[in-house]
Amino acid sequence: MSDQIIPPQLPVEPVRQSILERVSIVWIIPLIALLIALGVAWQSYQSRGPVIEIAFENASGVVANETELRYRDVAVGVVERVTFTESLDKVLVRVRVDRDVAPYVDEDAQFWVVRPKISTEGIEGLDTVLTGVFIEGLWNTKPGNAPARFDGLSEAPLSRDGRDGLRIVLRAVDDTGLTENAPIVYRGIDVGRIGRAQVSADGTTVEAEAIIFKPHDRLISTATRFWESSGFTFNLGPSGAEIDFSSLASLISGGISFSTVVSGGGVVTPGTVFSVYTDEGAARASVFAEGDGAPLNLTAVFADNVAGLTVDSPVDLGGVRVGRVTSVNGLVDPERFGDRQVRLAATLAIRPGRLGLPSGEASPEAALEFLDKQVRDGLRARLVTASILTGGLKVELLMVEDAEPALLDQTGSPNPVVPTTESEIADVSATAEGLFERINALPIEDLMNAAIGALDNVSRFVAGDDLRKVPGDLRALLGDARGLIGSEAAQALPGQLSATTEELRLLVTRLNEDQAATRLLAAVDAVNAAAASATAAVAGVPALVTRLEAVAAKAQSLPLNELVDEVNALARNANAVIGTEAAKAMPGAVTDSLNNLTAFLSDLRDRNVAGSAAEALVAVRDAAADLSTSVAGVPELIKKIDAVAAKAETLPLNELAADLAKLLESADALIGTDAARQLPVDLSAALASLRQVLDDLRDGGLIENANQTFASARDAADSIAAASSDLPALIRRAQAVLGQASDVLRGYDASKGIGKDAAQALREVERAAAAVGSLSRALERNPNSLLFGR
Amino acid sequence: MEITGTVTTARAAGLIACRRCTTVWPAGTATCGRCGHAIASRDQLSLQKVWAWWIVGVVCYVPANVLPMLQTRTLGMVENNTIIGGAAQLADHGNWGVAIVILVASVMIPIGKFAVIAALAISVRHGSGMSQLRRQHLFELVEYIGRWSMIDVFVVALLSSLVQLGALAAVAPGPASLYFAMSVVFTMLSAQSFDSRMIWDPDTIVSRADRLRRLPGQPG
Repeated sequence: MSDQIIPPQLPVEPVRQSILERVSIVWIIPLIALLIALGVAWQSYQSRGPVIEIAFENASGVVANETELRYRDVAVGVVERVTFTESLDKVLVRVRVDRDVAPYVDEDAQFWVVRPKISTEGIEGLDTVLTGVFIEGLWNTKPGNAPARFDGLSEAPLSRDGRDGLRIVLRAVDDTGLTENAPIVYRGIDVGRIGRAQVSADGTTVEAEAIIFKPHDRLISTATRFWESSGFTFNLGPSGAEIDFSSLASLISGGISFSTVVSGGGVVTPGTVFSVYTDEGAARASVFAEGDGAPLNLTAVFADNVAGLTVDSPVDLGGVRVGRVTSVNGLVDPERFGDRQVRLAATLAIRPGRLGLPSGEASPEAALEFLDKQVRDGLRARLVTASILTGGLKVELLMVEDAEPALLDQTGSPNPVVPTTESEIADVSATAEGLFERINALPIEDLMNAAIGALDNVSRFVAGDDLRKVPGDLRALLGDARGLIGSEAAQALPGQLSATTEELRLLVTRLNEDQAATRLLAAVDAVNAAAASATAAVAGVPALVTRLEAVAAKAQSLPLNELVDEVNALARNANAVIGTEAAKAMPGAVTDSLNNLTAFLSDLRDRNVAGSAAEALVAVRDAAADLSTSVAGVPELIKKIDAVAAKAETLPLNELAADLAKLLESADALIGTDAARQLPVDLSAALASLRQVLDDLRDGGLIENANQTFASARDAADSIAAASSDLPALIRRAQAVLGQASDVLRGYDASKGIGKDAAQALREVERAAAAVGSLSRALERNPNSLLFGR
Repeated sequence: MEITGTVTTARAAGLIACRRCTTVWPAGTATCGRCGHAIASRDQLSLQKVWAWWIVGVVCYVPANVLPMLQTRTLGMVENNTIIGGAAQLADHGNWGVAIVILVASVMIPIGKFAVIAALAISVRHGSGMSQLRRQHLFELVEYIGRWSMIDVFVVALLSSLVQLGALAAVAPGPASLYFAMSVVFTMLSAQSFDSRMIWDPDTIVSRADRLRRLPGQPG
């Protein structure tokens, strides 16, 4: 190939190239990347905060690399590891804390796990439902040294939002509701919060920590009283049921209110215990009950173990309330009292300030010294009735005259023992009951039985053959008598009698002239009064009746039939006596005696006997008056009669009857004697005197007076009957009233029965309302927290 | 296309072409007389650039796979998904198709690109068993596919802008998306830095070491 073009040789210049030309500029890019990577690594290492360790009892929901540590709801760290402590008793959470926050996490830091919590008090930590739990931390704003390990709290602390304040302890009185996390309200403003309520160490009360936030903590002094501020109060009292809707707002918020009731309270130190009362009234009243310093506790042991003394019963000294009963226990101490009887041991809390001691010395020691001195002088404790209706008791300290020497036993455990004396308990129900028991105890049925038995015997006696023979014998006796009267001597009797009568008439006339009748009336009046007194004296009769009943029972067993036989025989003998000549001569003797009598009466008239008789009647009236006064002593008399009857009851009546029969036999024999035949003569003389007296009496208007007396007595009896017929109605009325009162009182006891139920129900409603309220508040503040937390 | 016979290259003919305006100049000309562009028969620093971009791309690819690509927030729960984790989760739920697409687009293709670029760069220096034509095809494929490598980043950007339902659900790009994007960019730069003419150059110009190795067997 001749025409082949030979291309010129390219000049090859071996150029020495610089390092910049030999190395590409692009290498800078990897270098820059490397530098950036190193820088980032260095920076992240530099900004890494320290790791703290928190020991939790329970770390459920805490996940490594996910669970955050938050301070005021801002994440300031994240959990790196979840392990256990050396002994496996706690969960150890290692948290990487942000570098700029770490210096503030020092000794006072508190940590707790925030979990969702739905309770009656409200809903908390709703956001953690979706995002998972987180650890909330709380520390102050001053840097400090962090300890090696923190102890996590099981519950959120009170001042969780970092507000400072005064920490106190609230103690519930009775069944006040200390609800956790409830607000403490002062005049409608939320100034504090209640912590978790727990039973106190001694198990008697419920206590809860509470915080009063600054600056409201200066409202608290020792004179401050707390009470449960229900949204509405419910009262069941004597004036009916009352519902007080004071504030619907507090119904939603619930919680506790307080007020400094009196001025002059001292400074409150953290941890001071305050009581929470059920309502404002109780809280205010407590100021006066408890403002007297520490109480002096005494124990009083009462021998009679009666119901009615309760806790809070008053303790009075001379009518002034000086304390209250704080506990009532039964006490059995055979070594101390020598028997196994249950005694009542009451603990009395005495307020030294109420004893009248000088204000500077109102200490329990001074009060004890004072009471010790008083006890030496006779101060004793006793139970007295505080209320008749309820039967409630109180303890009274009073000076007892002539008390047995006793000392205040200062060595008593747990409290000094104050000596006691007999109780004075006016038990109205016991008294009424005793009355009814006595009436009940009257042996009315026995008496009736005895009376029935006696009547049976009488009827048997009357139906007896012996008694039927009596009329026949009597008829014979009368026949003889008729013969006797038909005799001449007897015929002459009327003439003598009329003469005698004439004399008597004259005598009576004189008597009338001397106003004997008037005086007799006075005497009757006196007797009337005496009878009234006697009525009063009849009170003891029931017992007497019992006795008489016994006597009647004895009498019932007597051999009456035999006695009747004897009487029969006696009558027959008498018959024989009358049939004798001597008897027939008796009219003659009677005539003679009448003659004598006539003469005697004439003498009497001549000697102004009537005047004497008038004086005698005056004397009788006086005597009656005396009797009237002396009847006052009749109850004793009746008692004596009672005793006599009792004796009679024990007498050997059967033997007596036998003796009587013998006596009758003797009488029978006696009648058969001549002396007996002389008897009719004397008898007729006596009869004459008797008739004369009877006539006088009739003329004196005695019967009329007696009628009047009986009329008055009947009127009185009618009145009493009317009154007593009203009495059952009255008693029923009183009973009904008492029953109603008792019902009312039972219902009124607000801590029991319907009152308690109502109060509880209302409290439940209130809590439910509080829960709804807090939920609605939370939602109102942050509605979308329902979905995605804060 | 099969090249038959011997081809006289411009380089063999002592000519050099401007890469901007394609004017042919005699060899040795430093700048193009028409457009002023610096001209060289071969970019001497090409391989250096390839390797530099390649290294940065690979380095960026590591965090792109380790860090979460997608931050999904559903009802307050935050879920961070890496690329492989997300694909595995999809496979777990039975979405095999989608999982395979993600794996192919986000793992196999980037890694394949790295491998191809590295292989091409090495083959230029040390020669290869593969034909020059095939290597050219591979290079074209890498160049072509490079623009699609951003599909992952596009998906993340789309999701992040579309799924913003407030509290119910929200999707945010994770840090890996940035690294992934950077990795793709650097890989593309690496591929572009490669001077494909070197594939066709005779093996003799490649390296001094090679030449030295070949000299005893090929006297000339």
